[in-house]
Amino acid sequence: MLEVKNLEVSYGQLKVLWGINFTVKKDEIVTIIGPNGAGKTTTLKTIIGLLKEDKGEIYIKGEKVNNLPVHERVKKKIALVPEGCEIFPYLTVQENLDLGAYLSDARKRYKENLESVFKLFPRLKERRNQLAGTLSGGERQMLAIGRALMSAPEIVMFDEPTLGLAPNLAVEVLKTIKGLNETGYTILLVEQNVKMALKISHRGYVIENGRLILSGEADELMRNKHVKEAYLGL
Amino acid sequence: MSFTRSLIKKCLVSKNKKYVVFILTALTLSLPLLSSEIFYIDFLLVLFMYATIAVGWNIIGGYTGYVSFGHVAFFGLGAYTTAILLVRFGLSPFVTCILGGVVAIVFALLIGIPTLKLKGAYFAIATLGLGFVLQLLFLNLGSLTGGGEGLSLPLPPWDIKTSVEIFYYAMFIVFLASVLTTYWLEHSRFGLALKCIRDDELSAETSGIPTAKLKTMAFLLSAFFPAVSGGLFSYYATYIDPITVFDPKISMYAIVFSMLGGSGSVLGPVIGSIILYSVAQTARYLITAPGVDVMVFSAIAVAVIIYLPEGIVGFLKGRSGAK
Repeated sequence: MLEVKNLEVSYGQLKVLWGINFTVKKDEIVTIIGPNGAGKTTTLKTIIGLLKEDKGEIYIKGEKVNNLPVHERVKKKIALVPEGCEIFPYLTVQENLDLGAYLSDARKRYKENLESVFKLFPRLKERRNQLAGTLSGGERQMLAIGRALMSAPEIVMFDEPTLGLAPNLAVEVLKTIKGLNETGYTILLVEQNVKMALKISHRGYVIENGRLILSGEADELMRNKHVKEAYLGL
Repeated sequence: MSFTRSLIKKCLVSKNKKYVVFILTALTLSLPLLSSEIFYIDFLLVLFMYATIAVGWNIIGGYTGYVSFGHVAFFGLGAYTTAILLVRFGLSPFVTCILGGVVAIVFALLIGIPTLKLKGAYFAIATLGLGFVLQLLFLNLGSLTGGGEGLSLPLPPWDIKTSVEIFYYAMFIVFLASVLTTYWLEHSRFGLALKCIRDDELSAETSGIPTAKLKTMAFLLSAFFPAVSGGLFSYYATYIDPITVFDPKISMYAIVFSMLGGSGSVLGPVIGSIILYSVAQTARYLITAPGVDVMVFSAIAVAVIIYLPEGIVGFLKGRSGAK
Protein backbone atom coordinates (compact mmCIF):
# COMPACT_ATOMS: atom_id res chain seq x y z
CA MET A 1 0.00 0.00 0.00
CA LEU A 2 2.68 2.44 1.04
CA GLU A 3 6.34 2.26 0.19
CA VAL A 4 9.14 4.65 1.02
CA LYS A 5 12.51 4.22 -0.63
CA ASN A 6 15.71 5.91 0.40
CA LEU A 7 13.96 8.98 1.75
CA GLU A 8 16.20 11.93 2.60
CA VAL A 9 14.73 15.14 4.00
CA SER A 10 16.27 18.27 5.45
CA TYR A 11 15.13 21.50 7.05
CA GLY A 12 17.31 24.07 5.32
CA GLN A 13 20.89 22.99 5.96
CA LEU A 14 19.99 20.46 8.59
CA LYS A 15 19.55 16.93 7.36
CA VAL A 16 16.88 15.08 9.32
CA LEU A 17 16.30 11.86 7.44
CA TRP A 18 19.28 10.03 6.00
CA GLY A 19 17.77 7.48 3.68
CA ILE A 20 14.76 5.71 5.19
CA ASN A 21 13.21 2.59 3.67
CA PHE A 22 10.01 0.97 4.77
CA THR A 23 6.78 -0.52 3.53
CA VAL A 24 3.28 -0.83 4.87
CA LYS A 25 1.25 -3.68 3.42
CA LYS A 26 -2.49 -3.84 3.06
CA ASP A 27 -4.41 -4.39 6.32
CA GLU A 28 -1.33 -3.96 8.48
CA ILE A 29 -0.64 -1.76 11.47
CA VAL A 30 2.95 -0.62 11.29
CA THR A 31 4.51 1.44 14.07
CA ILE A 32 7.48 3.71 13.78
CA ILE A 33 9.16 4.28 17.10
CA GLY A 34 12.11 6.39 18.06
CA PRO A 35 13.19 9.15 20.45
CA ASN A 36 12.31 12.83 20.10
CA GLY A 37 13.92 14.42 17.08
CA ALA A 38 14.52 11.12 15.32
CA GLY A 39 12.48 12.19 12.30
CA LYS A 40 9.22 10.33 12.82
CA THR A 41 6.92 13.30 12.28
CA THR A 42 9.12 14.45 9.41
CA THR A 43 8.60 11.09 7.73
CA LEU A 44 4.81 11.38 7.94
CA LYS A 45 4.81 14.99 6.78
CA THR A 46 6.92 14.09 3.79
CA ILE A 47 4.67 11.19 2.86
CA ILE A 48 1.58 13.40 2.84
CA GLY A 49 3.48 16.13 0.98
CA LEU A 50 3.81 18.90 3.56
CA LEU A 51 7.56 18.66 3.28
CA LYS A 52 9.58 18.17 0.13
CA GLU A 53 12.15 15.40 0.11
CA ASP A 54 15.72 15.89 -1.13
CA LYS A 55 15.96 12.38 -2.46
CA GLY A 56 14.05 9.14 -2.48
CA GLU A 57 10.71 7.89 -3.67
CA ILE A 58 7.28 7.59 -2.14
CA TYR A 59 4.75 5.14 -3.55
CA ILE A 60 1.11 5.08 -2.56
CA LYS A 61 -0.66 1.99 -3.85
CA GLY A 62 2.19 1.41 -6.26
CA GLU A 63 2.00 4.91 -7.70
CA LYS A 64 4.85 7.34 -7.35
CA VAL A 65 3.56 10.52 -5.69
CA ASN A 66 6.74 12.55 -5.23
CA ASN A 67 5.60 15.43 -7.42
CA LEU A 68 2.00 15.64 -6.30
CA PRO A 69 0.73 18.41 -4.00
CA VAL A 70 -0.93 17.44 -0.72
CA HIS A 71 -4.53 17.47 -1.92
CA GLU A 72 -3.66 15.22 -4.86
CA ARG A 73 -2.06 12.73 -2.49
CA VAL A 74 -5.14 12.78 -0.28
CA LYS A 75 -7.11 11.77 -3.37
CA LYS A 76 -5.00 8.59 -3.43
CA LYS A 77 -6.83 7.65 -0.22
CA ILE A 78 -4.21 8.44 2.36
CA ALA A 79 -4.97 10.52 5.43
CA LEU A 80 -2.91 12.01 8.23
CA VAL A 81 -4.12 12.60 11.76
CA PRO A 82 -1.67 15.32 12.76
CA GLU A 83 0.16 15.60 16.06
CA GLY A 84 -1.47 17.43 18.96
CA CYS A 85 -5.04 17.03 17.71
CA GLU A 86 -5.00 19.89 15.27
CA ILE A 87 -8.65 20.62 14.73
CA PHE A 88 -10.38 23.81 13.64
CA PRO A 89 -11.32 25.40 16.98
CA TYR A 90 -13.70 28.04 15.62
CA LEU A 91 -15.73 25.65 13.53
CA THR A 92 -18.36 23.31 14.93
CA VAL A 93 -17.74 19.61 15.27
CA GLN A 94 -20.02 19.02 12.31
CA GLU A 95 -18.17 21.55 10.14
CA ASN A 96 -14.86 19.95 11.06
CA LEU A 97 -16.18 16.61 9.88
CA ASP A 98 -17.67 18.12 6.71
CA LEU A 99 -14.28 19.45 5.85
CA GLY A 100 -12.73 16.04 6.08
CA ALA A 101 -15.02 15.13 3.19
CA TYR A 102 -13.90 18.05 1.08
CA LEU A 103 -12.79 16.06 -1.94
CA SER A 104 -15.42 14.85 -4.39
CA ASP A 105 -14.73 11.14 -3.90
CA ALA A 106 -15.27 11.50 -0.19
CA ARG A 107 -18.41 13.58 -0.65
CA LYS A 108 -20.06 10.80 -2.57
CA ARG A 109 -19.84 8.60 0.50
CA TYR A 110 -20.50 11.44 2.93
CA LYS A 111 -23.60 10.01 4.60
CA GLU A 112 -22.29 6.55 5.33
CA ASN A 113 -18.92 7.89 6.44
CA LEU A 114 -20.57 10.35 8.81
CA GLU A 115 -22.71 7.59 10.21
CA SER A 116 -19.76 5.32 10.80
CA VAL A 117 -17.79 8.12 12.47
CA PHE A 118 -20.71 8.85 14.78
CA LYS A 119 -21.02 5.16 15.49
CA LEU A 120 -17.35 5.00 16.36
CA PHE A 121 -17.49 8.17 18.47
CA PRO A 122 -21.03 8.71 19.77
CA ARG A 123 -19.65 11.62 21.79
CA LEU A 124 -19.07 13.59 18.61
CA LYS A 125 -22.69 13.16 17.62
CA GLU A 126 -23.81 14.59 20.95
CA ARG A 127 -21.57 17.59 20.44
CA ARG A 128 -21.96 18.08 16.71
CA ASN A 129 -23.16 21.69 17.00
CA GLN A 130 -20.57 22.73 19.54
CA LEU A 131 -17.44 24.69 18.62
CA ALA A 132 -14.57 22.25 18.33
CA GLY A 133 -12.42 24.52 20.50
CA THR A 134 -14.63 23.71 23.49
CA LEU A 135 -13.95 19.97 23.34
CA SER A 136 -11.73 18.16 25.80
CA GLY A 137 -8.39 16.72 24.77
CA GLY A 138 -9.73 13.20 24.26
CA GLU A 139 -12.71 14.47 22.29
CA ARG A 140 -10.43 16.55 20.10
CA GLN A 141 -8.44 13.47 19.26
CA MET A 142 -11.69 11.68 18.39
CA LEU A 143 -12.59 14.58 16.15
CA ALA A 144 -9.19 14.62 14.47
CA ILE A 145 -9.52 10.90 13.77
CA GLY A 146 -13.13 11.32 12.65
CA ARG A 147 -12.14 14.09 10.28
CA ALA A 148 -9.45 11.94 8.73
CA LEU A 149 -11.92 9.07 8.30
CA MET A 150 -14.37 11.39 6.53
CA SER A 151 -11.99 11.58 3.60
CA ALA A 152 -12.68 7.87 3.02
CA PRO A 153 -9.03 6.83 3.25
CA GLU A 154 -7.54 3.39 2.87
CA ILE A 155 -4.31 4.26 4.63
CA VAL A 156 -4.44 6.34 7.82
CA MET A 157 -1.30 7.75 9.37
CA PHE A 158 -1.37 8.73 13.04
CA ASP A 159 1.19 11.10 14.47
CA GLU A 160 1.46 10.44 18.20
CA PRO A 161 -2.28 10.07 18.77
CA THR A 162 -1.87 9.54 22.52
CA LEU A 163 0.24 12.64 23.11
CA GLY A 164 -1.03 14.59 26.10
CA LEU A 165 -3.87 12.21 26.87
CA ALA A 166 -4.58 10.59 30.23
CA PRO A 167 -3.32 6.96 30.33
CA ASN A 168 -6.79 5.42 30.20
CA LEU A 169 -7.72 7.65 27.24
CA ALA A 170 -4.48 6.73 25.51
CA VAL A 171 -5.44 3.07 25.79
CA GLU A 172 -8.87 3.92 24.38
CA VAL A 173 -7.36 5.70 21.39
CA LEU A 174 -5.01 2.83 20.59
CA LYS A 175 -7.89 0.37 20.94
CA THR A 176 -9.85 2.47 18.48
CA ILE A 177 -6.95 2.36 16.05
CA LYS A 178 -6.77 -1.39 16.40
CA GLY A 179 -10.52 -1.52 15.75
CA LEU A 180 -10.13 0.61 12.64
CA ASN A 181 -7.52 -1.77 11.35
CA GLU A 182 -9.87 -4.70 11.88
CA THR A 183 -12.54 -2.98 9.83
CA GLY A 184 -10.19 -2.67 6.89
CA TYR A 185 -7.98 0.39 7.28
CA THR A 186 -4.26 0.11 6.77
CA ILE A 187 -2.43 2.01 9.47
CA LEU A 188 0.92 3.69 9.91
CA LEU A 189 1.40 4.74 13.50
CA VAL A 190 4.04 6.96 15.05
CA GLU A 191 4.21 6.60 18.80
CA GLN A 192 6.35 7.30 21.81
CA ASN A 193 4.19 5.02 23.86
CA VAL A 194 6.24 2.10 22.61
CA LYS A 195 4.86 -0.77 24.63
CA MET A 196 1.22 -0.04 23.90
CA ALA A 197 1.90 0.72 20.25
CA LEU A 198 3.83 -2.48 19.62
CA LYS A 199 1.10 -4.46 21.33
CA ILE A 200 -1.47 -3.52 18.71
CA SER A 201 0.92 -3.55 15.74
CA HIS A 202 1.91 -6.21 13.29
CA ARG A 203 5.32 -4.82 12.49
CA GLY A 204 7.53 -1.99 13.61
CA TYR A 205 10.48 0.14 12.61
CA VAL A 206 12.89 1.95 14.89
CA ILE A 207 14.32 5.26 13.73
CA GLU A 208 17.20 6.96 15.52
CA ASN A 209 18.94 10.11 14.34
CA GLY A 210 17.22 9.95 10.98
CA ARG A 211 18.32 6.42 10.22
CA LEU A 212 16.43 3.17 10.32
CA ILE A 213 18.22 0.96 12.83
CA LEU A 214 15.82 -1.89 13.43
CA SER A 215 12.79 -3.46 11.89
CA GLY A 216 10.74 -6.58 12.40
CA GLU A 217 7.60 -8.19 13.71
CA ALA A 218 6.14 -6.36 16.68
CA ASP A 219 6.63 -9.11 19.23
CA GLU A 220 10.13 -9.67 17.93
CA LEU A 221 10.91 -5.99 18.53
CA MET A 222 9.42 -6.20 22.01
CA ARG A 223 11.98 -8.88 22.85
CA ASN A 224 14.87 -7.03 21.21
CA LYS A 225 17.57 -6.07 23.67
CA HIS A 226 18.06 -2.54 22.33
CA VAL A 227 14.35 -1.77 22.27
CA LYS A 228 13.95 -3.15 25.76
CA GLU A 229 16.75 -1.00 27.14
CA ALA A 230 16.07 2.19 25.28
CA TYR A 231 12.28 2.30 25.07
CA LEU A 232 10.70 -0.10 27.46
CA GLY A 233 12.96 0.64 30.40
CA LEU A 234 13.47 -3.01 31.18
CA MET B 1 -27.18 45.63 29.22
CA SER B 2 -28.11 41.96 29.01
CA PHE B 3 -31.52 42.96 27.68
CA THR B 4 -29.99 45.04 24.90
CA ARG B 5 -27.63 42.22 24.15
CA SER B 6 -30.40 39.68 23.85
CA LEU B 7 -32.46 42.11 21.77
CA ILE B 8 -29.64 42.76 19.34
CA LYS B 9 -28.93 39.07 19.33
CA LYS B 10 -32.51 38.37 18.34
CA CYS B 11 -32.23 40.83 15.48
CA LEU B 12 -28.89 39.64 14.19
CA VAL B 13 -28.34 36.02 14.91
CA SER B 14 -31.72 34.38 14.71
CA LYS B 15 -34.18 33.88 11.91
CA ASN B 16 -35.39 37.47 12.28
CA LYS B 17 -32.18 38.51 10.54
CA LYS B 18 -33.92 38.29 7.17
CA TYR B 19 -36.61 40.79 8.16
CA VAL B 20 -34.15 43.20 9.73
CA VAL B 21 -32.03 43.13 6.59
CA PHE B 22 -35.15 43.57 4.45
CA ILE B 23 -36.39 46.57 6.44
CA LEU B 24 -32.97 48.21 6.40
CA THR B 25 -32.70 47.68 2.65
CA ALA B 26 -36.13 49.19 2.08
CA LEU B 27 -35.26 52.16 4.27
CA THR B 28 -32.00 52.65 2.43
CA LEU B 29 -33.67 52.53 -0.94
CA SER B 30 -36.31 55.04 0.00
CA LEU B 31 -34.01 57.49 1.76
CA PRO B 32 -33.56 59.82 -1.23
CA LEU B 33 -37.35 60.09 -1.39
CA LEU B 34 -37.68 60.82 2.31
CA SER B 35 -34.95 63.36 2.70
CA SER B 36 -34.15 66.23 0.40
CA GLU B 37 -30.87 66.90 2.20
CA ILE B 38 -27.96 65.98 -0.04
CA PHE B 39 -25.80 65.81 3.09
CA TYR B 40 -27.43 62.63 4.38
CA ILE B 41 -27.41 60.95 1.02
CA ASP B 42 -23.76 61.79 0.52
CA PHE B 43 -23.01 60.59 4.04
CA LEU B 44 -24.55 57.19 3.35
CA LEU B 45 -22.97 56.96 -0.07
CA VAL B 46 -19.48 57.33 1.36
CA LEU B 47 -20.46 54.96 4.16
CA PHE B 48 -21.45 52.35 1.58
CA MET B 49 -18.14 52.89 -0.16
CA TYR B 50 -16.11 52.22 2.99
CA ALA B 51 -18.38 49.34 3.91
CA THR B 52 -17.79 47.79 0.48
CA ILE B 53 -14.04 48.03 0.96
CA ALA B 54 -14.37 46.53 4.44
CA VAL B 55 -16.60 43.71 3.19
CA GLY B 56 -14.10 43.00 0.42
CA TRP B 57 -11.22 43.04 2.87
CA ASN B 58 -13.11 40.68 5.16
CA ILE B 59 -13.00 37.91 2.54
CA ILE B 60 -9.23 37.61 2.71
CA GLY B 61 -8.58 39.20 6.13
CA GLY B 62 -11.55 37.85 8.05
CA TYR B 63 -12.49 34.56 6.44
CA THR B 64 -9.09 33.40 5.23
CA GLY B 65 -7.04 34.95 8.04
CA TYR B 66 -4.59 36.73 5.75
CA VAL B 67 -4.56 40.30 7.05
CA SER B 68 -3.97 42.63 4.13
CA PHE B 69 -2.78 46.16 4.89
CA GLY B 70 -2.86 47.21 1.27
CA HIS B 71 -6.46 47.05 0.13
CA VAL B 72 -6.38 50.71 -0.82
CA ALA B 73 -4.28 49.55 -3.79
CA PHE B 74 -7.33 47.89 -5.32
CA PHE B 75 -9.57 50.84 -4.53
CA GLY B 76 -7.12 53.21 -6.20
CA LEU B 77 -6.64 50.94 -9.19
CA GLY B 78 -10.39 50.83 -9.72
CA ALA B 79 -10.65 54.59 -9.38
CA TYR B 80 -7.88 55.22 -11.90
CA THR B 81 -9.11 52.61 -14.38
CA THR B 82 -12.52 54.25 -14.74
CA ALA B 83 -11.08 57.75 -14.62
CA ILE B 84 -8.57 57.08 -17.39
CA LEU B 85 -11.12 55.27 -19.54
CA LEU B 86 -13.54 58.19 -19.15
CA VAL B 87 -11.04 61.00 -19.71
CA ARG B 88 -9.11 59.38 -22.54
CA PHE B 89 -11.78 57.27 -24.23
CA GLY B 90 -15.08 58.71 -23.03
CA LEU B 91 -16.38 55.39 -21.65
CA SER B 92 -19.07 55.57 -18.97
CA PRO B 93 -17.81 54.74 -15.46
CA PHE B 94 -21.04 52.92 -14.69
CA VAL B 95 -19.88 50.32 -17.19
CA THR B 96 -16.14 50.53 -16.69
CA CYS B 97 -16.25 50.26 -12.89
CA ILE B 98 -16.67 46.52 -13.48
CA LEU B 99 -13.60 46.69 -15.71
CA GLY B 100 -11.76 48.37 -12.84
CA GLY B 101 -12.67 45.34 -10.76
CA VAL B 102 -11.19 43.09 -13.42
CA VAL B 103 -7.97 45.12 -13.49
CA ALA B 104 -7.76 44.76 -9.71
CA ILE B 105 -8.31 41.01 -10.02
CA VAL B 106 -5.45 40.68 -12.49
CA PHE B 107 -3.24 42.78 -10.25
CA ALA B 108 -4.27 40.73 -7.20
CA LEU B 109 -3.37 37.55 -9.07
CA LEU B 110 0.12 38.84 -9.83
CA ILE B 111 0.61 39.98 -6.25
CA GLY B 112 -1.23 37.12 -4.59
CA ILE B 113 0.73 34.23 -6.05
CA PRO B 114 4.01 35.24 -4.38
CA THR B 115 2.70 37.03 -1.26
CA LEU B 116 0.13 34.44 -0.20
CA LYS B 117 3.03 32.07 0.44
CA LEU B 118 3.89 34.36 3.35
CA LYS B 119 2.22 33.98 6.71
CA GLY B 120 1.06 36.33 9.45
CA ALA B 121 2.99 39.55 9.84
CA TYR B 122 5.06 38.89 6.72
CA PHE B 123 1.98 38.91 4.52
CA ALA B 124 0.77 42.07 6.26
CA ILE B 125 4.07 43.85 5.61
CA ALA B 126 4.22 42.72 1.99
CA THR B 127 0.73 44.06 1.32
CA LEU B 128 1.43 47.26 3.26
CA GLY B 129 3.87 48.15 0.51
CA LEU B 130 1.29 47.68 -2.25
CA GLY B 131 -0.57 50.95 -1.76
CA PHE B 132 2.64 52.94 -1.49
CA VAL B 133 4.17 51.40 -4.58
CA LEU B 134 1.07 52.11 -6.66
CA GLN B 135 0.84 55.63 -5.27
CA LEU B 136 4.41 56.32 -6.41
CA LEU B 137 3.79 54.68 -9.74
CA PHE B 138 0.70 56.74 -10.46
CA LEU B 139 2.44 59.92 -9.28
CA ASN B 140 5.17 59.34 -11.84
CA LEU B 141 3.26 58.02 -14.84
CA GLY B 142 2.28 61.57 -15.71
CA SER B 143 1.24 61.10 -19.32
CA LEU B 144 -1.28 58.42 -18.43
CA THR B 145 -2.40 59.37 -14.94
CA GLY B 146 -1.86 63.09 -14.81
CA GLY B 147 0.80 62.55 -12.13
CA GLY B 148 0.54 64.61 -8.96
CA GLU B 149 -1.90 67.01 -10.56
CA GLY B 150 -4.42 64.19 -10.67
CA LEU B 151 -7.23 63.73 -13.13
CA SER B 152 -10.28 65.93 -13.49
CA LEU B 153 -13.26 64.01 -14.75
CA PRO B 154 -16.09 65.60 -16.71
CA LEU B 155 -19.15 66.40 -14.60
CA PRO B 156 -22.01 63.91 -14.78
CA PRO B 157 -24.75 65.26 -17.05
CA TRP B 158 -27.36 65.69 -14.32
CA ASP B 159 -28.17 68.32 -11.75
CA ILE B 160 -26.47 67.82 -8.39
CA LYS B 161 -29.39 66.24 -6.56
CA THR B 162 -30.17 63.68 -9.28
CA SER B 163 -26.51 62.89 -9.70
CA VAL B 164 -25.98 62.24 -5.98
CA GLU B 165 -29.04 60.01 -5.97
CA ILE B 166 -27.85 58.01 -8.96
CA PHE B 167 -24.44 57.46 -7.39
CA TYR B 168 -26.13 56.62 -4.12
CA TYR B 169 -28.09 53.79 -5.73
CA ALA B 170 -25.12 52.61 -7.77
CA MET B 171 -22.91 52.46 -4.67
CA PHE B 172 -25.66 50.70 -2.78
CA ILE B 173 -25.91 48.04 -5.48
CA VAL B 174 -22.16 47.41 -5.34
CA PHE B 175 -22.34 47.28 -1.55
CA LEU B 176 -25.27 44.89 -1.64
CA ALA B 177 -23.48 42.68 -4.18
CA SER B 178 -20.45 42.47 -1.91
CA VAL B 179 -22.58 41.55 1.10
CA LEU B 180 -24.52 38.93 -0.88
CA THR B 181 -21.24 37.46 -2.08
CA THR B 182 -20.06 37.14 1.51
CA TYR B 183 -23.41 35.64 2.46
CA TRP B 184 -22.92 33.03 -0.24
CA LEU B 185 -19.37 32.50 1.00
CA GLU B 186 -20.55 31.94 4.56
CA HIS B 187 -22.81 29.12 3.38
CA SER B 188 -20.62 27.52 0.75
CA ARG B 189 -18.00 24.82 0.84
CA PHE B 190 -15.54 27.36 -0.49
CA GLY B 191 -16.15 29.61 2.53
CA LEU B 192 -15.85 26.71 4.94
CA ALA B 193 -12.53 25.77 3.38
CA LEU B 194 -11.32 29.37 3.78
CA LYS B 195 -12.23 29.33 7.47
CA CYS B 196 -10.19 26.16 7.80
CA ILE B 197 -7.20 27.78 6.20
CA ARG B 198 -7.59 30.58 8.74
CA ASP B 199 -7.87 28.23 11.71
CA ASP B 200 -5.13 25.81 10.77
CA GLU B 201 -3.62 25.81 7.32
CA LEU B 202 -1.64 22.63 7.87
CA SER B 203 -4.68 20.62 8.87
CA ALA B 204 -6.64 22.16 6.02
CA GLU B 205 -4.02 20.89 3.63
CA THR B 206 -3.98 17.41 5.10
CA SER B 207 -7.78 17.33 4.76
CA GLY B 208 -7.25 17.58 1.03
CA ILE B 209 -8.09 21.26 0.60
CA PRO B 210 -6.08 22.85 -2.23
CA THR B 211 -5.07 25.76 -0.02
CA ALA B 212 -2.89 27.69 -2.48
CA LYS B 213 -5.65 27.82 -5.08
CA LEU B 214 -8.43 28.76 -2.66
CA LYS B 215 -6.37 31.45 -0.92
CA THR B 216 -5.65 33.07 -4.26
CA MET B 217 -9.31 32.91 -5.27
CA ALA B 218 -10.29 34.57 -2.00
CA PHE B 219 -7.72 37.30 -2.58
CA LEU B 220 -9.06 37.99 -6.08
CA LEU B 221 -12.63 38.15 -4.82
CA SER B 222 -11.63 40.51 -2.03
CA ALA B 223 -9.85 42.79 -4.52
CA PHE B 224 -12.84 43.06 -6.84
CA PHE B 225 -15.38 44.96 -4.71
CA PRO B 226 -13.08 47.72 -3.39
CA ALA B 227 -12.01 48.38 -6.99
CA VAL B 228 -15.59 48.66 -8.26
CA SER B 229 -16.48 51.08 -5.47
CA GLY B 230 -13.32 53.04 -6.30
CA GLY B 231 -14.46 53.30 -9.90
CA LEU B 232 -17.78 54.81 -8.86
CA PHE B 233 -16.05 57.10 -6.38
CA SER B 234 -13.77 58.65 -8.99
CA TYR B 235 -16.72 59.72 -11.15
CA TYR B 236 -18.66 60.89 -8.12
CA ALA B 237 -15.77 62.97 -6.81
CA THR B 238 -15.01 64.17 -10.40
CA TYR B 239 -11.38 64.59 -9.36
CA ILE B 240 -8.83 62.06 -8.18
CA ASP B 241 -5.13 62.16 -7.43
CA PRO B 242 -2.73 59.48 -6.15
CA ILE B 243 -2.57 61.03 -2.67
CA THR B 244 -6.30 60.64 -2.00
CA VAL B 245 -7.17 57.38 -3.73
CA PHE B 246 -4.06 55.54 -2.49
CA ASP B 247 -4.34 56.96 1.03
CA PRO B 248 -3.17 54.21 3.44
CA LYS B 249 -5.90 55.43 5.81
CA ILE B 250 -8.41 53.66 3.56
CA SER B 251 -6.71 50.29 4.17
CA MET B 252 -6.78 50.98 7.90
CA TYR B 253 -10.48 51.86 7.76
CA ALA B 254 -11.24 48.55 6.08
CA ILE B 255 -9.37 46.62 8.76
CA VAL B 256 -10.68 48.49 11.79
CA PHE B 257 -14.28 48.58 10.52
CA SER B 258 -14.18 44.82 10.01
CA MET B 259 -12.53 44.15 13.34
CA LEU B 260 -15.00 46.25 15.30
CA GLY B 261 -17.97 44.60 13.66
CA GLY B 262 -16.41 41.17 13.76
CA SER B 263 -14.21 39.92 10.97
CA GLY B 264 -15.05 36.58 9.46
CA SER B 265 -18.79 37.19 9.58
CA VAL B 266 -21.22 38.46 6.96
CA LEU B 267 -22.56 41.46 8.82
CA GLY B 268 -19.49 42.28 10.93
CA PRO B 269 -17.82 44.70 8.51
CA VAL B 270 -21.17 46.32 7.75
CA ILE B 271 -22.01 46.93 11.40
CA GLY B 272 -18.47 48.09 12.08
CA SER B 273 -18.59 50.54 9.19
CA ILE B 274 -21.91 52.00 10.21
CA ILE B 275 -20.86 52.56 13.81
CA LEU B 276 -17.31 53.75 13.32
CA TYR B 277 -17.90 55.89 10.28
CA SER B 278 -20.86 57.60 11.94
CA VAL B 279 -18.88 58.24 15.11
CA ALA B 280 -15.86 59.55 13.24
CA GLN B 281 -17.95 61.88 11.07
CA THR B 282 -19.95 63.16 14.04
CA ALA B 283 -16.74 63.87 15.89
CA ARG B 284 -15.50 65.73 12.85
CA TYR B 285 -18.53 68.02 12.72
CA LEU B 286 -18.77 68.60 16.46
CA ILE B 287 -15.11 69.38 16.98
CA THR B 288 -13.72 71.27 14.04
CA ALA B 289 -10.05 70.91 14.92
CA PRO B 290 -8.31 68.90 12.19
CA GLY B 291 -7.55 65.24 12.79
CA VAL B 292 -10.13 64.77 15.54
CA ASP B 293 -11.98 62.08 13.60
CA VAL B 294 -8.76 60.10 13.26
CA MET B 295 -8.07 60.41 16.99
CA VAL B 296 -11.55 59.27 17.98
CA PHE B 297 -11.29 56.52 15.44
CA SER B 298 -7.93 55.31 16.75
CA ALA B 299 -9.11 55.38 20.36
CA ILE B 300 -12.06 53.18 19.41
CA ALA B 301 -9.74 50.85 17.51
CA VAL B 302 -7.54 50.39 20.57
CA ALA B 303 -10.56 49.79 22.80
CA VAL B 304 -11.89 47.19 20.38
CA ILE B 305 -8.64 45.28 20.32
CA ILE B 306 -8.55 45.18 24.12
CA TYR B 307 -12.19 44.59 25.01
CA LEU B 308 -13.83 43.07 21.94
CA PRO B 309 -11.15 41.07 20.12
CA GLU B 310 -13.84 39.05 18.35
CA GLY B 311 -15.79 42.13 17.31
CA ILE B 312 -19.44 42.88 17.93
CA VAL B 313 -20.80 39.90 16.02
CA GLY B 314 -18.31 37.56 17.68
CA PHE B 315 -19.28 38.98 21.07
CA LEU B 316 -22.98 38.44 20.39
CA LYS B 317 -22.40 34.92 19.22
CA GLY B 318 -20.25 34.34 22.30
CA ARG B 319 -17.33 33.15 20.25
CA SER B 320 -14.60 34.49 22.48
CA GLY B 321 -14.62 31.34 24.64
CA ALA B 322 -13.25 28.85 22.10
CA LYS B 323 -9.68 27.68 21.61
